[in-house]
Amino acid sequence: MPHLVPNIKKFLQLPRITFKRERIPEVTESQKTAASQDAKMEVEKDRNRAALRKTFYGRIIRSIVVGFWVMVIAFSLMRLSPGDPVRLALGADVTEEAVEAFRTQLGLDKPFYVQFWDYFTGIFRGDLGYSYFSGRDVTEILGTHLPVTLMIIGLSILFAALISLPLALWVATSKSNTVNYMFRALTSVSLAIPGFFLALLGLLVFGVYFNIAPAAGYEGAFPGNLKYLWLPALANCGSLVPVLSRVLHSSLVDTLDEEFVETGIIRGVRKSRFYWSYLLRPSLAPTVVLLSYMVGVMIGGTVIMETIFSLPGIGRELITAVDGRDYPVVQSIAMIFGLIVVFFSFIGDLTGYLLDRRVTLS
Amino acid sequence: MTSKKMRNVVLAFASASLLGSLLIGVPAAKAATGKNCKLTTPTAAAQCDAITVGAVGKVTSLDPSNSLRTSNQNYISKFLIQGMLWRIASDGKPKKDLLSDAKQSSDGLTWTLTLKNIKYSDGKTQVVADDAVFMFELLKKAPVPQLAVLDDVSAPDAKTIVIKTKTRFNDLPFAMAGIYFWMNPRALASDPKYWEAPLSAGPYRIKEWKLGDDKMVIEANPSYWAKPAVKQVTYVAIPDPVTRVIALRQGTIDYAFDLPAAIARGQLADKKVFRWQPTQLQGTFTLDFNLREMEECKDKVVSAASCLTAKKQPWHDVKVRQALSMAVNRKAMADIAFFGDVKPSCAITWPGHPAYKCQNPDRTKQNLAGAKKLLAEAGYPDGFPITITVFNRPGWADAIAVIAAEWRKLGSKMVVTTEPQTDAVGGARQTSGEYQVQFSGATGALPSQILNIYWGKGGAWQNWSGSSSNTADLQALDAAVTEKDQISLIASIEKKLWDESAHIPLGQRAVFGASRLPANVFSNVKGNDHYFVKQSPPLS
Repeated sequence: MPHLVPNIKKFLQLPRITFKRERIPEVTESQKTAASQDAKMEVEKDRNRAALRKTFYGRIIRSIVVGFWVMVIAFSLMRLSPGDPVRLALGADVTEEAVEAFRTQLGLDKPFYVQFWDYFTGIFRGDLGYSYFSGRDVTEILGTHLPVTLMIIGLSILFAALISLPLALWVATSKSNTVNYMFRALTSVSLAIPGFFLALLGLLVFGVYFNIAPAAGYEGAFPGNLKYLWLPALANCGSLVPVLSRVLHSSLVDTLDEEFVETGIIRGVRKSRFYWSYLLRPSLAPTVVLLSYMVGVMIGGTVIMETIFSLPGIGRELITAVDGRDYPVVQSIAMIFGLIVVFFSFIGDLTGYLLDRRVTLS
Repeated sequence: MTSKKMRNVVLAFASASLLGSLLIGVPAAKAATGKNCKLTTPTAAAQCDAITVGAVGKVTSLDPSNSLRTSNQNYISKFLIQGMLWRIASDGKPKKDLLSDAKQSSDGLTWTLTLKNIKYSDGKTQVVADDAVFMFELLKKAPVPQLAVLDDVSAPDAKTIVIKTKTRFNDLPFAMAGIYFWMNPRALASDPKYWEAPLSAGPYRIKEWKLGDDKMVIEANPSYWAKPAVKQVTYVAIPDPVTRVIALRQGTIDYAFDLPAAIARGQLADKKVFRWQPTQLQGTFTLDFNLREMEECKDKVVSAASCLTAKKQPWHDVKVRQALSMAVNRKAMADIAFFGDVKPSCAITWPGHPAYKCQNPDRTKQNLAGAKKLLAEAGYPDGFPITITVFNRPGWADAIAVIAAEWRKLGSKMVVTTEPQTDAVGGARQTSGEYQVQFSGATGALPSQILNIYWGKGGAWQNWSGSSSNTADLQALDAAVTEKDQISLIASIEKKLWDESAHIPLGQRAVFGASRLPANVFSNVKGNDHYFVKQSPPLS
């Protein structure tokens, strides 16, 4: 369709053309064919529903299995890593008797498999243990701090979408080589910049010079807390935007070559409908699926952002817990992160399917 | 207006609203409030309504039996919202706080203390002598070396406390003004829930705080016997040191302690807005050698890190250690890594203490020729490989880089590797003996506390290094009656430490802080990291 691409701009300025349906009074051969086609579509829909149900239940089971194995790995790695949580918790000024007494109190004198079994069975009772340092219930730690992290991730996704979609669309429909070149160059540079550097730069520019982003002092009530979250979310999506926009751009370029796009142009559909139904919707599926799988990357980025911006999220609690070898906190947070990643990947696959029925669920 | 233009207008308006809703309410930098609370306000006239302080971490526990009582962020609770018999004043010396009188018996073993007539922050509960007995009982469950000298605490009446010590301990006020002994009502504090919102007999009480919060707000305690110059203090946890600098720069906080000096000096250069407060601590930076020989490794040929010292290492020879000490350029280290805030030192006791004295007066100056001569005598004329490890704190990694550069001049085979580590990893390696030489720093209220770390049996660095010890020396120091006796005993211990040179003193520990507040109103205590607030009448 190369002959049409240069004309898209001109086409988009043409007046809209509409068609009227004609009423057919009697059943014709084509109607009979349509009836059997309807029946076939019904069968197809039933098949899709069954596939969707199967996928849904399968993903739940997969989430549990992944969460379990993440927890096992975190449980094991923490105990294999150097550092004694008992001595770290008690400090340097402590007797050996106190160390052993505390070790017994925490159950760390038991064999590895006993410790694991105690923790694993505790999960089903809703008992994730207590922090060795603060004595806080791990469930309470998760309940207090996880929402902040989820808000940052959610905002990051929102900002990434708001930036990537129009950017990719503009570049894909642009006929300028300069635009394409600049797009590729800027996304490459942006990918190379580490998130923490972006964060500090943002803090310097927006926090110090423009004074519109507070460096600390997070307050939890929504929507007031948004003013503390927008900059970390923006910095966090610094690594997302180049990836998403390039993937979407590539999809859009492929879609522009499709015959149905040509049909849409010929039919003279409205611009907004053309952009959404003919260009974006068929192209978004791979991008949405990729976005969902990048939640794991975002979690890592969020941990850094929470430290730099002094946000009381679960990432910062994880860093503190890892540094102090606070086993129950680390294990539980790792397990929750595993569940979040799997959940988001399922949502991404489902959204991709809903956007484009050519995507098959397995 | 066409529908297209209308759509564009609506879209623009919606975008602006979204952006505006994110930014609305972003406060202008929250400067300290109070009409006499500016940087240039004279100390005598200074009075602040509310200030915000950046802390390195959040308060994780107010329970005295919790192990976290030793962590830096919990100092907040120890010194401002807890009643203390003695409290460290701005000059670094302990002064009577809840006491009206304190007498020591002639044999030095009994202290008789008289309480002031004062209530806790609820305005109802009286501070009584039995509260000190209660604290002593709590300490027995979680003993600490600094107060191991306490033999008994009793309360013959409501206002009199009698403390008996096992040996003469003239510096008891220093020890009691530390982080372990404070007053709480027995009837209420026996309930574990009490520690989530304890009463205060100190200058401040908790106004707003919940376990796990990043923020703690404290307000002046109306029941305290003095009036602090700051009515309300908000502590905000800002773990990242660079963010603390930025927060101070933009005015989100008014004071911060422990900032990265290089970045802070650049960002906070405006002397009309910021006051630099480098603080020399009562402590010393040292290089500590691993002299441990693992019994289980002695007869084995092993390569595991934990058995490194099974083979005789160059630094097991005292001449090598003394040579390495001579090769350090302490002034360069202090100037380059710490911007001159660290004072070069040649003794564990910090410079500025009356007992500070170099065993060899020139030991603070670098002597490469002497170092090479000693190394040759020890059998290492060209040097040997060695790794210096350090906790990755502001300036510390730079310090070992400077030291490594000087050591490399000792010979062609002097391969010096530097390894900054996290506290957890470094701490683990210290404990297990998986290090060669570590750059570290210790602080204490008293020389005996610091010397105990390096010379007392079971002292942290004595234990980790496997170096010599003699607790009797330290007990004699604690029992010393006069300052002259103390100085003489310290000199004796310092000579023994130098003779072994397992712990090489480098310089007096210092940290860099900065403030937007009037001078001497709110800061960390000289020589320590306790918080201090100007009050009227002052501690005496």
